[in-house]
Amino acid sequence: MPLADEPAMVLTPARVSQPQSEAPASVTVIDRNLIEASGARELYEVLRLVPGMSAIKVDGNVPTVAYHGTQARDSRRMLVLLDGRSQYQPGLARVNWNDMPVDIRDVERIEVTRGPAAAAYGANAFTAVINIITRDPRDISKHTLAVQGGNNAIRDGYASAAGRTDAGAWRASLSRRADDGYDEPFEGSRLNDAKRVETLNGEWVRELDARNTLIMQAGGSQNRLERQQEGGVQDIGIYQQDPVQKGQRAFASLQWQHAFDQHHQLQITGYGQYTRDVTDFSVCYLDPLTGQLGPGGGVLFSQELRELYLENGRDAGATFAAAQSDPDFANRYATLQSVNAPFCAASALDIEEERYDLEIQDTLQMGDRVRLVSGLNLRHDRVSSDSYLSGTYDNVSYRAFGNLAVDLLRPVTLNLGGYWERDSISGQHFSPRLGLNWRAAPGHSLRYVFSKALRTPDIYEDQAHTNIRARELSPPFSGNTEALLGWAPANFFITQTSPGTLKPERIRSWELGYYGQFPGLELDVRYFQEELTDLLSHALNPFEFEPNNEGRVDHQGTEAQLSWRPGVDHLLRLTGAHIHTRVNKKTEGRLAARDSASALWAWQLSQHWGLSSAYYLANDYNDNVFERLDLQVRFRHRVVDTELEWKGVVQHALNKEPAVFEENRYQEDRFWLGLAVRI
Amino acid sequence: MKRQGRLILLLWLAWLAPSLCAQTPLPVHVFAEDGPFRDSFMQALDVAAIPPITQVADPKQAELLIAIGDQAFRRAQKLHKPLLGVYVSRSEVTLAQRKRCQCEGIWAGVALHDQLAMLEIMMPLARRVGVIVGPQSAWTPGMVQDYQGRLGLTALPVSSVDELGDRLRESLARFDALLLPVDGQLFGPGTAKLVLLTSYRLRRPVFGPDRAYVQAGSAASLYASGSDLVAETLVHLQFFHSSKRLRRSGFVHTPTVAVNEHVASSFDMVFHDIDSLREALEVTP
Repeated sequence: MPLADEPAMVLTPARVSQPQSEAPASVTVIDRNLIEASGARELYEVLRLVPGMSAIKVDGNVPTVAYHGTQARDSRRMLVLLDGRSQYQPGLARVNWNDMPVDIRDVERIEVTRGPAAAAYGANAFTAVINIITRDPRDISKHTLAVQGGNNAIRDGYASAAGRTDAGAWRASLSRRADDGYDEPFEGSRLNDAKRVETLNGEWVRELDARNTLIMQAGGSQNRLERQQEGGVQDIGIYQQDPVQKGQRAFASLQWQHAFDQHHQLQITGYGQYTRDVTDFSVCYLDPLTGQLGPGGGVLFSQELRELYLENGRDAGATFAAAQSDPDFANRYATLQSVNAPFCAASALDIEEERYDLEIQDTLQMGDRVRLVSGLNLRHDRVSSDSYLSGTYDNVSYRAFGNLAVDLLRPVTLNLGGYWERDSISGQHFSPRLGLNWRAAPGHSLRYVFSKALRTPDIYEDQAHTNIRARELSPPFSGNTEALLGWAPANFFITQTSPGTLKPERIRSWELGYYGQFPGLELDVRYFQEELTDLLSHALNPFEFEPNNEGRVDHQGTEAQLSWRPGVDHLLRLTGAHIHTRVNKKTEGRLAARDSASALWAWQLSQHWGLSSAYYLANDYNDNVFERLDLQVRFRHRVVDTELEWKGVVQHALNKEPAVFEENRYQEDRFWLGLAVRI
Repeated sequence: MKRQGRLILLLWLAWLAPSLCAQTPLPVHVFAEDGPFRDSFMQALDVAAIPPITQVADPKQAELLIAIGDQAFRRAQKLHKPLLGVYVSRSEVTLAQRKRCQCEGIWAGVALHDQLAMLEIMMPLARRVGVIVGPQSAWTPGMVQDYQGRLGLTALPVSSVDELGDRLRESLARFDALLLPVDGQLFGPGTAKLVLLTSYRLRRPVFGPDRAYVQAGSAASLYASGSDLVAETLVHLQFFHSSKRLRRSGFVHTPTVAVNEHVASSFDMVFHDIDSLREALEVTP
């Protein structure tokens, strides 16, 4: 049997198929049955079933998913793979869960490697790796049409088709989901956090012969997200048009698998990804001297104030203090006063990211006891942005990796892994890992894992040069920009520039774990310590920009996950984490819940009826306890050859505390009804 | 289970030996395809049969006909003599009995509860097991439904090879493991790749149906080896000799264990070695 065809319990920790008891990491597997039982509408939600994982919408409708969470808004310390393609974006070091080009119904399983895995995946596999694996077209026999709708403007649709040819199979899906975000009104006004996402995802597998297989994937997504108003902008103006983020994504990948023989396999994968996000907003600016709307607001986009800002060490307070006595500023202000209209401008935060990745991976089984995975990777990232970078930047990285699994003695497996990489931003680095697994008895194993990993600064952190341009000006500023503002095009006076000297963030971690199987019961427990150093903890946005590596976080804790089937028709799944987190900057602790847990119970009442319920706890996020109970009822039946599934889901918040930040509130339960037809 | 069964069988035969040896040899004729299995089977019967048998060339001279395999079983029925089928499809025996043949059989395959006992030991996490059954399978949907044990069994009826792929794709993900009966039509070499690769991709291990499938990539199986069939045939011969009636049809009582250690290990199954598994099976109720 060629290696590619071998059964695999887990694939992610060391890039090689391994039984969980031999993997050099704690692994959580969420398969399709569990995803369906959870009742989740969106992919990020099922990650609450992972012990120690924070998964919550922080900024309105934008989810943050973080293992051993730290900062609230950043998903930048964890690698997410979608069928092997990195979803970690190079420009702003983030993972966009909203517009990931896949629907939750396309997913076969999710493997979460808990703990650093840079030894297998390189920089940015920092605290964990989430590997999302979509359904293999060879395993799909039906076309599906699904719709669901509920309160809070939940309107979702999904259509998929699949087919087989003589030597292969294909599948394609199209989906749309929309909702209105958190509850309104908040403080008497509408909360701007609705979203609409459309995705397209397709795969084609062709078995050329017994030794060669080609896998091609392509897809994309587009979204429209309402974004909440920025506090920094609210201080200096009045929004005329709330921010709206529009994004597009596209990807294509090709993989060739070649089996030399039953013990040796080569895999070559190439992919390209493109992402474009533009956030438009329109603001009428306050006159900084009067605090009222008026033409004086234009000075914020004047050349004179920009020059003063640069002369005063990029300190906004000092800039305004100096402006009081600056004649050029006074002249500009006087010029603006000649206009009898408020100064309004439309601006945009834009970013375009491209990634081209080529990887060769060789898997070699040497006898019964040694397995080696090694490979080379070449990656080219390109980021263009007027607002964040004032230009285009490239980062080319070269990588080599190897993971060796050796059965030292029959019950002891040694996993050694390392990843060397060199890139244009951070130079060269090496990330090692050592794992020792001892199968103390059949079905029971102990493991020790030590690993180091790093997160390299993203292109924005390294090359930031922000410029918020006034793209559309209100009249008469639009027709006479240079005369009124001193330059054209006009930019907001605040600009930030990265020193380009930031170091990578680092993590050093060890864990002791136990994995055991009992009749009907599976248990995984781990104790861990993690030291995160050289963290970029301070704000790096156009209004606040403090680039330094002074942040530090220490995690120490215990996690457990348990799956129990007390009977054939019942599944009880429990997870829990108790983590002590020490931080040297408060913002690093906002998403660090000391206690978190999930409990999922699924009951197949009969051939047709199924009931499932889930409970989630995070105590706490930013001093707010998150506690929710979900309930799902499903009814499946057949009409001739067509399978119909009806379902109803209710999500009930067990307290009225906001989710992380004050504006994120669930005052009302969420509920929706759905129908899926499989032909 | 196998070792203990053999011991009991030998003790029983030894206890009966003095009285049986005094009896006249039983004339039998063996129907089988020519080949090494037929030769070694007949040789083993000659050596071990108590009371002794005489293999006669002319089937009309035989008191008992033994037919190995479905084809031979069908041929032998035409002689309308007492007939014991060995490694014969259960459906074939049932069909013949409906035609009022004087025949019984040692069915191809092993008992459902034996395979399930092994599955439970090796995969303690398993609760939901899918069992594919076809018209020619060793097990019937009724047998699957009648199962009273701890596992939840679901019969997945498949009427032909053409349906097999879709049935797997639709159903496999609902189960913790898949159990296959011996079925010459459904689970031959032509479908092994489809069944096993689908099961691997969906991370659902396959148990059964025989040793060849285990070699191809099924996790484990109990199977009726040549010596198991000889031992079971001897029990039938003894019964026939003493009562002049055929013993009721059934599977072999002491099947052999085959494990694909690599697959079992990949699926994190509870398996140390064959002897430990055999011992665990022996103490299974």
